[in-house]
Amino acid sequence: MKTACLFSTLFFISSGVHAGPTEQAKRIHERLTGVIPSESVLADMVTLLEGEDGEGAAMLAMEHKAFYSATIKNWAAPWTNREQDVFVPLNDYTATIIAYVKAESPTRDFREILYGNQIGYSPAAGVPAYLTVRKAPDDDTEDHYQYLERNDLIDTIVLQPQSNVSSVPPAGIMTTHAAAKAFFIDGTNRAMLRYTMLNHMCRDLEQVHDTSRPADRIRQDVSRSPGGDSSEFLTGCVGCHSGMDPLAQAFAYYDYDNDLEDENDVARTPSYSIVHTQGQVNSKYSVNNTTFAYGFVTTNDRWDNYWRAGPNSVIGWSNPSEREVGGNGAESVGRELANSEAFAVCQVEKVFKNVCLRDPTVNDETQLRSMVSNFKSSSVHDYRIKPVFAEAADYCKDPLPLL
Amino acid sequence: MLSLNQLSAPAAKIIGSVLLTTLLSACGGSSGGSISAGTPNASNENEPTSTASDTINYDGPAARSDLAQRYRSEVWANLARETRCGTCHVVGGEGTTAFADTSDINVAYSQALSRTLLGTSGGESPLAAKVGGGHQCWLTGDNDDLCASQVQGWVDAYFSTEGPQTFLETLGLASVAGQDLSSIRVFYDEAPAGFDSSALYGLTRQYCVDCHSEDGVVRQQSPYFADASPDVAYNALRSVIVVSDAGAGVNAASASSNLTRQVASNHNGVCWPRSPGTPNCSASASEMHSAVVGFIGDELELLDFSDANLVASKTVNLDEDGIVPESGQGRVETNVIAKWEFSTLETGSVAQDTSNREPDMPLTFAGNIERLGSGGVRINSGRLQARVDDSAKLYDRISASGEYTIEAWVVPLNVTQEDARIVTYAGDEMNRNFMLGQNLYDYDFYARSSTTDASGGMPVAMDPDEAAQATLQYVVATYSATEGRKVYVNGALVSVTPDPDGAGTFGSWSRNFVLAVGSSVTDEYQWQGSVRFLAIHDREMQPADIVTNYDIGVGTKYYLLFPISDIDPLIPDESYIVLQVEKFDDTGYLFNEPFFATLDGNATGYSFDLEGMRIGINGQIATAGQAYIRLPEYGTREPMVGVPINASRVTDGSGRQILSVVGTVIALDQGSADRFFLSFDRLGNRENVIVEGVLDASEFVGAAIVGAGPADVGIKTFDEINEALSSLTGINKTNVNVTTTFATVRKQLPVNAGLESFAASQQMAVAQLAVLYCKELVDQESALASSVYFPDFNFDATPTTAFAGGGRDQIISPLLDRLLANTTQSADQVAFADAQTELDGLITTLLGNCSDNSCVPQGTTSSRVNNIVTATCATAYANGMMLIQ
Repeated sequence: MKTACLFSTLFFISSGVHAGPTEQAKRIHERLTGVIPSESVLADMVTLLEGEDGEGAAMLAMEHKAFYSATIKNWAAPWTNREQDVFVPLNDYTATIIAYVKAESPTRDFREILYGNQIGYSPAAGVPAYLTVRKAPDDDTEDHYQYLERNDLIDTIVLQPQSNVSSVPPAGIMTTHAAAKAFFIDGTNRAMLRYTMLNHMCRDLEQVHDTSRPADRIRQDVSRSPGGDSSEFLTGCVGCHSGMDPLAQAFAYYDYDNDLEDENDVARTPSYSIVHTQGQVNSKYSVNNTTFAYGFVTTNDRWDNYWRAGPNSVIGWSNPSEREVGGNGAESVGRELANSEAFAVCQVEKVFKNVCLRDPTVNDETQLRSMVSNFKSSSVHDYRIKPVFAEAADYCKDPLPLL
Repeated sequence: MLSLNQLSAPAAKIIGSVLLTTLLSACGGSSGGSISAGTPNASNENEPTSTASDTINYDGPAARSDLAQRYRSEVWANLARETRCGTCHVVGGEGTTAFADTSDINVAYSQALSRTLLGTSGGESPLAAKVGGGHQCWLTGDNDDLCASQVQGWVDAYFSTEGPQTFLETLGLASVAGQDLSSIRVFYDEAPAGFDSSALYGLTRQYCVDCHSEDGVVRQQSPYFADASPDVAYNALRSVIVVSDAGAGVNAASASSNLTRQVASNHNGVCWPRSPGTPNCSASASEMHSAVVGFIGDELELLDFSDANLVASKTVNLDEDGIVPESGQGRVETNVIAKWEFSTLETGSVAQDTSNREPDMPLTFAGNIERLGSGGVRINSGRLQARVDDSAKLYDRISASGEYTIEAWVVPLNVTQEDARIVTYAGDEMNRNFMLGQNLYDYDFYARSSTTDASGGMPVAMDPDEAAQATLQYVVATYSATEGRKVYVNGALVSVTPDPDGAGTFGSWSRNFVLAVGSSVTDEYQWQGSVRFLAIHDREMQPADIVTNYDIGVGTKYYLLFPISDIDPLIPDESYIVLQVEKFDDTGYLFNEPFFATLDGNATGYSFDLEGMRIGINGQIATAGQAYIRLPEYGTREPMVGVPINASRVTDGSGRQILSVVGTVIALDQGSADRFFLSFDRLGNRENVIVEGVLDASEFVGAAIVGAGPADVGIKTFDEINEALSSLTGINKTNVNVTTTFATVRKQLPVNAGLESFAASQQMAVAQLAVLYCKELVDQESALASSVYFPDFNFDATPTTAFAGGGRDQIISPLLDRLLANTTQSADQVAFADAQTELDGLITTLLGNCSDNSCVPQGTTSSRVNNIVTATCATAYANGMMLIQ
């Protein structure tokens, strides 16, 4: 125990010193991977930086597998649960994000995370099959992803078609087991929209609050007179539900099956998996249907985006002149969200914070705009996300000047 | 005494028809104007001699529907005389229902319907039964049964007239003129200059201030139109005065509205002059009327509707133009023994029992209780309570029947209140005959019987959970002689059956308990919320009857007809968009199920478009709650059936063409004065499409910007620390000892990269993990014949020998080479030589402390060497150079 008291005696910090290529390389490598570079990698990065190829140096750093097993895993882990807990075990949602970041041949459009027919998994030998992710809560059998995490095999994750492992209509991460377990479980399926917007448009519902949208699609379970005061509804509830309910209708056929009883109260064994009942609206869409009996009754999975008009047009929806856009099902609503300016800005914002370890300020606006533009441009990154990490690492490779 | 039922039906009808013929011959026209009640029935020698008071001077609005007119001519014209029911059963009168009101036939009719006084076609009228039971028969002598038969005859005549032929007629819809949007006048948003010296404010301050002000000395009764604050008073006046027109065009009766009527009826002794002097209600009402007319003339503004492109209906007002549908009746009340409707026509701090089952059982307010503009009471604190003697009605009736039902429309304020008493029939907190309460998301029903204790037994479980919500709910608690308790919410059974206490009898009930609403009778267990209806039955209500009453709902529902014929020649005459409207609560209106209808029976072959409908109120299109903007595409449960509007596309063969089946809530603005209109994006050939602009999405980047100054230094987080130590030591993080320790300390390691949140406990976890990695490294290397990591170091020597000469550098250099990535000092890290000096000093200290190996408990010299190397390694790696990124 005598040694323990010495650990804090060596705490090396220096700051405010102009960074040379060596310092820049170390900073880039550590921020992207969490790991101190090897001497040879450092040397190669220094060479690239001396040639003013900071993004090249960053791409080299990202070859370290810790970029995926630590940085990307923990970047995505909070998105996969309501508590935004980063300590959750590796799951198929996180793995899908890792695989999209990692995909190089072919590269992948990161927008697909909200609508693609892809899922991250490992083809490595000896790994339990994907289907074992469907576990009862008290089943501690190690699943595919926990095995990968325990055996340091995260870097073996690749994309495969979701339809190979699941029969539900795919919609990117929204139809992963982890997302279903977190956001389709119980409730009313509004959580899937809320958390998808929170995590991938960087907007919670308060930030899209708009009481001026039509109220015709608000379901019956929303009281129009909470506590006997309809002004509460007209100034509060309607602001979110008017836009949210017609969008969340896209998930009307989805559910996470954890029901221990059937509709006749007879005991049953749930599948603990995502389910999709084509053409049959899940009963959760009609819970509390007498709260406001004159409310909207969901009969299909037709979604509409009321937020294309009004103040939320600032979200930058694709083809903004089209005011009334809708579709059926999760995949198309995923496209609607992913094709927005907000999605692109949000991804860049999240990368910036992850790499630069701080929020962007007004001094960074030009850089942010540039990164968003490059992320979207078909001639630059074409919606690949990994180069955005490189851009951010290059931008933040120098310490900020001391104030 | 001869009861009504003992009279043969034909006999009753003959009597009725004789009277009817006589009376009809004397009645005036079907609209407003003074009428005479007619000559007394010459065939009835018991009828008192006619007096001046037998003449009904009616100056109110015309009947709004054919059925209302039929009520007027067949029933009201006979009953509304002052010698019969017209003295008490008028608005503000002593009677609990105003079915004989002489100021507005529509109010009278509505009252008769809402209290189901007429009964059903072919059945015994409750009104007749009441009179037959000895209530105020107007005939001299013991002639209660004859009075009853007269009433029954009038009611039969009402029902016997040929019934409605179409659905529209069933609804009782009649033409509505409405007003042009351009002529709308509304009150100012705030009290204008000079209001405080106006005649109306002066009168209310002089004669109404004792009650209708926030500091009233008798009671504080909203609306506070006599408040000391002119702004408060102005806002209150806006809510009680109906504006039918401005200035010289004011219709006296409707403009004066409640204020004048209340004065005319000497409401709470309001008439003046006061002592000394004799109150003159007629003169007082006239003065009040003049003041109201002056108020409307002075205090209105004309809205500017210069936008000629607006495609809008005429404007209508709920009180003036709303039609109470005939089909909205039919509540199941056969076994009601007490009922409180908390009508908007009631004033004061007593809620009347309108069950017509004697004795009356009024509930007196005790606490902070407000009347709702939509009908009902809001209980903020305290309770409403009946007298012991009156409450005994419940004991007497229910003891006899052996079963009962509590039926209520309630709005819990929240779902956080526990063990709160909504309705209790009790002596104190725990001794009660029954109690319906709220406990979070559950409704609790306790029912004392031979199978329970004095508190009413065990709680009944709820399924589904969370049946109670903070919104308007229809709650019915029934007690069956065979099955005990059941609870229904919004028509559905929500209690788990069977009753855990089973069914019992009521021999243990107390006749000395009282009924209280809102808290226990000892003022404990407060329930907060609104009660819009409450009834007690002396039978178990059956599920079908519960559903029937649930479907009928609570509060007055109106049909509001918006005239649209003038908008475009394609639209037939007498055409309307009709919405069902009700006062939803004190801050909003419910609009529901819009449909198109034309009352022009000759209209055929019409066809026109309707798109984008919005509800307007007082000249403004309501901002929130619009539900018909997306017509015709959305808003319906079924495929759209009503657009384009076409004579061949009606839904039920009655001329009604449903546009949408959803309802919505629109904010209340001024109260009774509110005038509504509909605007359209397109109606026929008229078009005024509202297109909203699109905001510049490039500004969205700005939303990502945070103004706070950044911290430019961060630390590694848990997995990164694990990766970094694994990388530095070369020990695989899947090493079983590593995974065990990492699992233990993982959540103790830093979660966020922010340096400002770094804590000492996190440093301890970093150290613990580093020691583990270093121990694994040293164990691995010391076991090799020739170490790879420390290639020149001799782990087998004694400590003194091993760390002599170059031995220390054989440990320190490999560690620092990896930590610093190369041997060249970079600007933001420690100098190699400085770190080397520190680590060398550490080894010296560790050797010096234990040079004789005395501090190595387990003993061998080699383990001592390993420990010193482990400590050196951990010191090198568990510090800022590793942690800072």
